[in-house]
Amino acid sequence: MAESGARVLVAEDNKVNRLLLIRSLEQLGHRGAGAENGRLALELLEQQNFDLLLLDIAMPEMDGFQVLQHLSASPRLRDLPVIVTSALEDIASVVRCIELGADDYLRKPVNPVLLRARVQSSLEKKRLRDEQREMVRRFATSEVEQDLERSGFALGGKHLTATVMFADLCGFTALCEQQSADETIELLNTYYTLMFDAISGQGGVINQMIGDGLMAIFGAPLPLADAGSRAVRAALEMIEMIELLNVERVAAGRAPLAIGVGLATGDVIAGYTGTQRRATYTCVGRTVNLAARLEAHTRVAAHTILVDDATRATLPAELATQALGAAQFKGIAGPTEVHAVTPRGAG
Amino acid sequence: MSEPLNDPIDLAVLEELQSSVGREFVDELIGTYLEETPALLAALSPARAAGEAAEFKRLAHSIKSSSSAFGAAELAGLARALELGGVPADGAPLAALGAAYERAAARLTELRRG
Repeated sequence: MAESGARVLVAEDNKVNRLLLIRSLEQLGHRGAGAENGRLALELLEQQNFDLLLLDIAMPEMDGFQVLQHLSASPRLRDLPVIVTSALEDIASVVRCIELGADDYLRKPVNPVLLRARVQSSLEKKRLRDEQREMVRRFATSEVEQDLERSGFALGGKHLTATVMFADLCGFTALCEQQSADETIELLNTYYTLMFDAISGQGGVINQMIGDGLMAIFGAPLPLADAGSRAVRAALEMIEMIELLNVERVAAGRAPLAIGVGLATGDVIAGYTGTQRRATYTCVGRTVNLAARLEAHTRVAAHTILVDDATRATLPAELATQALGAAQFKGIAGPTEVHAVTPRGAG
Repeated sequence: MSEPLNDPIDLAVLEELQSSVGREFVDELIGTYLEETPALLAALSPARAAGEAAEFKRLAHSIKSSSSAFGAAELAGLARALELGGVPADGAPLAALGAAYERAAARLTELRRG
């Protein structure tokens, strides 16, 4: 069970109290280590992995308040559960500790039954946080992970305004039939590397890759100024990358590639979806649907980058567009004004 | 020796400690307490003389918390009064604290052997 074998650091200047707490923890099946002041505690926490910190408030060199401040400033140690153990009757100190991030409070002399209950509860909380973190580490991009590291875990969905991008390699299926499996995988890897570079370079986050298609979000999970124009710039860079790749491909006697990109801006519902074993940060809603429709529409319209009205409205003058008139899309109520982004150097 | 009228150690607290962490460990812990506490007591005087209120408070707090672990109620009470009351005007409360420690230490030594 979660409580067995946890490593607990006891930061406590009074040796009697320190030994007594370590002993009590060992009797609960944990491994305890001691530090006689806050500074030494932080050093140990930096060097070794602990599951829990029992922290005294009044200590020489560095007190418990300062330790809590250091912990909350450290991405690695911020989520370490902390139980403040102090005989300070001063309720204000306890409140301050909780405000500084302590999870719980135990009065000294520590009652063994309470110690057991609080330690178990804190370790359980840590286990849940570690699981969430591991889940995100495996399946989210580094941007998403860092956002979560900074902001703490917020797994609930929320409404956001973002620009959604769908991109697809045109004629990919036919291409697969003409080349070997190895060549196809190599091509996809090259393609994704180039697309990732262009998208993340503009602050976008790729959250889905399906075959030769990808979905990226600009403005979620982190807000992004000029999400619309950044997404358009990313799309233009993607086209340029493909053109560069095509020079090599044609020189090697291979068929050139073409991509289609659809962009839509508006309200999205963003959050984590999935199961325990596989989760992803994703966005759903009308804006997402519209971006997918616009991407599919690139083949009909014979333009590589199509955007909706809301995206076009955010673009500066140097990002020229051409109005293509209204189109009716499946699943989208009413006509949608479609605009093509004019590739750079195309007049 | 019969038990003193006012035992400096609350035996119920001590027995509870013994049953929760083991008698042998408590005996060792008493040894640590007897080694550590005189230095804390000795540091109170210079802290008072220098008017180092925070250090004085921390020392008194430390004495209070380890003393109360063994049920040394009188000593813990005096230390608590110093912790909360601030630096005293004269040395009398420190002398009273020292005397209370001597009583508690003698009793703990006795209980440890017994």
